[in-house]
Amino acid sequence: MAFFGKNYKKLSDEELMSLLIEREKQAFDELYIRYSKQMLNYFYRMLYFDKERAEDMLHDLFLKIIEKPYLFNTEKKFSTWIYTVAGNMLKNEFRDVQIHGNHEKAYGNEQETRIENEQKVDSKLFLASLNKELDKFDSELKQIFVLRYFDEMSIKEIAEIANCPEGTVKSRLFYMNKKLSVSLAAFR
Amino acid sequence: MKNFELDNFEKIELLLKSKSFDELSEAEREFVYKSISREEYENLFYFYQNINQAKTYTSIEPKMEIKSALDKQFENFKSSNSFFSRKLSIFKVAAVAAACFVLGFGISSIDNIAKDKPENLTDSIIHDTVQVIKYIQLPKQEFFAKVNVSNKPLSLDFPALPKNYYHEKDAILLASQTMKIYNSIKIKHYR
Repeated sequence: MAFFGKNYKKLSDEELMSLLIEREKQAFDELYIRYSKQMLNYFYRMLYFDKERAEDMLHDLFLKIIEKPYLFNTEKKFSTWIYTVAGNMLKNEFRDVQIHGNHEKAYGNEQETRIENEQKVDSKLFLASLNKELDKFDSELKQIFVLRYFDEMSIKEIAEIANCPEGTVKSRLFYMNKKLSVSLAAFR
Repeated sequence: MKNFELDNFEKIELLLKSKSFDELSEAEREFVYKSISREEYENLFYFYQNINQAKTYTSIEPKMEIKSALDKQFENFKSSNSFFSRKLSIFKVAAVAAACFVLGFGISSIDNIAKDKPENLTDSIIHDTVQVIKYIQLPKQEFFAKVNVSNKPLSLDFPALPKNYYHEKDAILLASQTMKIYNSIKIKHYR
C-alpha cells in the first residue's frame, strides 16, 4: 500500500496515460509491465516469428508513447489504442517489406530457429504451416486472426482496432477459419 | 455468412474451444448443424486445439535491454523537454503563434480605428465647441480681434447665455447639448 504516493497498480490504463502526459515515470513503468509482453508477442506472431524485429518494434512502440503521449485520447480505451498504433506500425513494416523484398526473404529464414523446444515439433510445424496459409490472406485479415486467437481480444475490440463493423470481423473470421481448418486438416 | 452464424459466432466458437463433436449434447449438435457440418466442426475443433497449443509454445519475454533503453530515452526526453514541447504538438504551437500574431495585429488595428471612432470624434467636437463658446462669451471686439475676421455678427444657434457670463463648466454643458443635436442628426442621416 502506498502511503506517500499513488498506487500505480490500481490505476486504470487510461489514468496511467494521463499521468504519463504529465511525465510521471512510474506511470510509464506500470504501462510497460502491463503491455510489453503481449505487444512483443503480437509483433512476434505478425512478423513471422522474427524475434529481433519484434523487439525493435516493441521498442519503437513504447518510444512513441514516451514522445507523444498526448496523441492518446484519455476518454478512449488504451488497449484498443495501443493495438491500433501497433497495427499501423505493422502496415508500414509490411509496405517496406513489399518494396524491399518478400516476407519469406525478410523473416522466413529465421523461423526455423525461433522455437527452441524440441518436444513441441508438432506445434512448430503447425505454426510454420499456419503462417504460410495466413500469408495467402492480406495483412488486415491476418491481423484480425492474430488478435482473436493469439491475443484473445473480443470481437468489439477487434472491430475498433480494424476500424470495421463487428459483423465484418465475425464473417472474416468464420471464412478464414473454415479455409484454414481444411488446409491444416493434416494436423488433426 | 448467414445472419444465424453472425449472431451465434461466439457461441459456436465457445463450443469449438471446449468440446469435441462427440462431447456435444443433442441440442448443441442441432445448434451446430444450423451453421456447419460435422466434418467442418471436427476440422475447426482440432484447428482451435492446435492454435491453443502453439500459442503456449511461441510466447516470448521482452529483454531487459529494451526497458533500459526506454528508461534512458524517457529521462533524456524529460530533461530536454520544455514547457511547450511537453504538452503541445507542433500544430498547437503553430496555432498559438498564429493566434498571437492575429491578436497583435488586431490590437494595433483597433488602436488606429480608435483615433477615428465616434467617442473620440465627439470629444474633439466638444472641445472645439467649447473654444467657440468661450469666444462667444468674450466681448464682441475682443472676439473679432482674436479670430481676425470681418466685423460680422455670429449666427450660431447656441442657447443664449446671460451677458458677459463666462464659465467653462457651462460651456462644456452647452457643448454636450450641441453634440446631442449633432448625434441625432447623424443617426437620422445614417438611417
